[in-house]
Amino acid sequence: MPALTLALAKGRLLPPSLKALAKAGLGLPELEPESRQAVFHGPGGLRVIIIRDDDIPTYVARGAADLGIVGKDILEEAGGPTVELADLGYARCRLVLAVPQGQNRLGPDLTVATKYPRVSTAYFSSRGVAARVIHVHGATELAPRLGLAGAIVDLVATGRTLEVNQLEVADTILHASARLIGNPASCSLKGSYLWPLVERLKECAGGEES
Amino acid sequence: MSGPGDAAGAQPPDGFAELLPGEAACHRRVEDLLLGSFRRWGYDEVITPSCEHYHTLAGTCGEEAFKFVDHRGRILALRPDVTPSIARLAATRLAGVSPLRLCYRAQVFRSQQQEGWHEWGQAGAELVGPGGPGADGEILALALQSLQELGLDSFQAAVGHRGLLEALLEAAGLGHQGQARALDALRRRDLVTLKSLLGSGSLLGKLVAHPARWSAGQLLPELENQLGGGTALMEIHAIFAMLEAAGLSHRAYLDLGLVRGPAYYTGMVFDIYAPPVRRALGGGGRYDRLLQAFGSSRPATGFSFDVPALVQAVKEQCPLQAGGRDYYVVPVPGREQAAFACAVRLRRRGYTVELALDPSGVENALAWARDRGFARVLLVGNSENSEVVLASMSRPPGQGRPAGIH
Repeated sequence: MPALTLALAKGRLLPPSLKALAKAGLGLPELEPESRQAVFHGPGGLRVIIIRDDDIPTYVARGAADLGIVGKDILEEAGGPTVELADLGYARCRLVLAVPQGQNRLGPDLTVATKYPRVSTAYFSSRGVAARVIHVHGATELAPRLGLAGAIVDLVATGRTLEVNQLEVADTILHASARLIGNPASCSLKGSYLWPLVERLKECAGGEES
Repeated sequence: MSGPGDAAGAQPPDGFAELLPGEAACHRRVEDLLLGSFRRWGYDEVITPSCEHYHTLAGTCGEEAFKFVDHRGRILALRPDVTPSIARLAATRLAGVSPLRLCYRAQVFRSQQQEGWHEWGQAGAELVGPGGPGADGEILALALQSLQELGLDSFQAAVGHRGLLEALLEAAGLGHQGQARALDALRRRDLVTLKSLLGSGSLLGKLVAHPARWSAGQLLPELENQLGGGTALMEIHAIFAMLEAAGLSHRAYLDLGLVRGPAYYTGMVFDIYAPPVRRALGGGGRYDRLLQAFGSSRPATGFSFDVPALVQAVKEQCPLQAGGRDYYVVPVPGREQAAFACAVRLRRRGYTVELALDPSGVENALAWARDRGFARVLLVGNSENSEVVLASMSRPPGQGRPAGIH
């Protein structure tokens, strides 16, 4: 039985997360880039699982993992009962409302395509905008050009994708970065193992890419 | 493909459980043991209605309730929680009794699923009347003691205090708005926002990370230094002293960042965790203003347990003995009446007895009895009876009914 399970996200968060782990002395010797393996045993009873980013809040909320590293955007969208332990500072980007270039005002009948329906709905209702939110799972930036929606809410790192699709940022909804999250029961019952690890990861994540 | 399970209504509605034999017995046994503990501390059981006027729940958890409208157009709600019903009772029909010690077991209903469920069992206790730390200490000690009596050997309470938390936020230099934001961040367990509000070097910022690292004995003097006393600190002191006196202090630690979901808590709060359950088993705290909604200013404190979570912990930590079956009585053809009389006699003596209604042969009867966990099979023959021993009896004869079934 592993002492603690840490869930990492496949994709762009994985390399900096693994780097932080290695720096904290918890590198995974068995990890091979092309392998389909998802469960790894690290030093000191640590088990690392690598899963889809939007599954991480679920795994941690239900205690299948004690800790997880996930973007603030995904965490906000999940809204689950997890403890947000630390801002690890890497994988910085913004969740923005983007509209076709030159269209600086939102129409009265706004439809918005997004992978983030919960965050988007909360954003529009807090501003008193009656927007219809359309849930899509990818290629959000195509939606305005194809007439699916008048605007999008999406994650932006460099802004290059928006530019290519003739979109521009109308508003920033939140600033995202990698967050370390924990299961509330694990934070209590496995505290003496968990909290020192949190401190170590916090220290070792600092000074990564920004 | 279609089968009997496809017909509308062949499954319970999504999020509503049906507990089968064995599982149901386990839930009831846990409830019985809890209620037994509560009773020994002087808490009387009450049964409150399954639904309340919606406005009775105002300011508590009404938003989460299933609502419906009665024939006069009033909004009713299936109880999402039992505490508001107890508060109503304590403010009205039982207003004259103080201290008022009540306990309950009840199904609660939430329109938003928790862990996939709309309905589950709760058991809890409430102490209405006394306002001091003596009542809080009793409630916390009762919660912990009842888990001990359930047979759990690994569990922990995180104990906080609303007043102490507010004092710490003030000591950190936060204004009214900053305090509200910090409390909201703590309620959402967002330590990143909390730290950004507190800045570096605040005592609270240090305490929310790994709160169990310090014992109350270490923390309380430091808090005394920082805050220079205060009612809240005195209360926490007294509560931990009571746990110490009850031999329960190793079961609790001070978690000053703890903010429980319902907004009605005013003083001590606590959450209890036990492996392997990955959410709180239950918790509670002081709610001195909840009775005001019913025109009473009585202070109150209490807690509730989530029965399915407790069942999960009990199964892992200390499996309860299944209620044993004693005799399976099997007649040979033509001796059915004698067998029936025999079964009745055995039951009068306190045994758990089932009677074979369908003469399907001794071999089948033995297999069935083995499967169902009977200790003995009694074959009722034409001239004499014979007994086959399959297992040892669950208890000596004449002991009456097994504990837990009242």
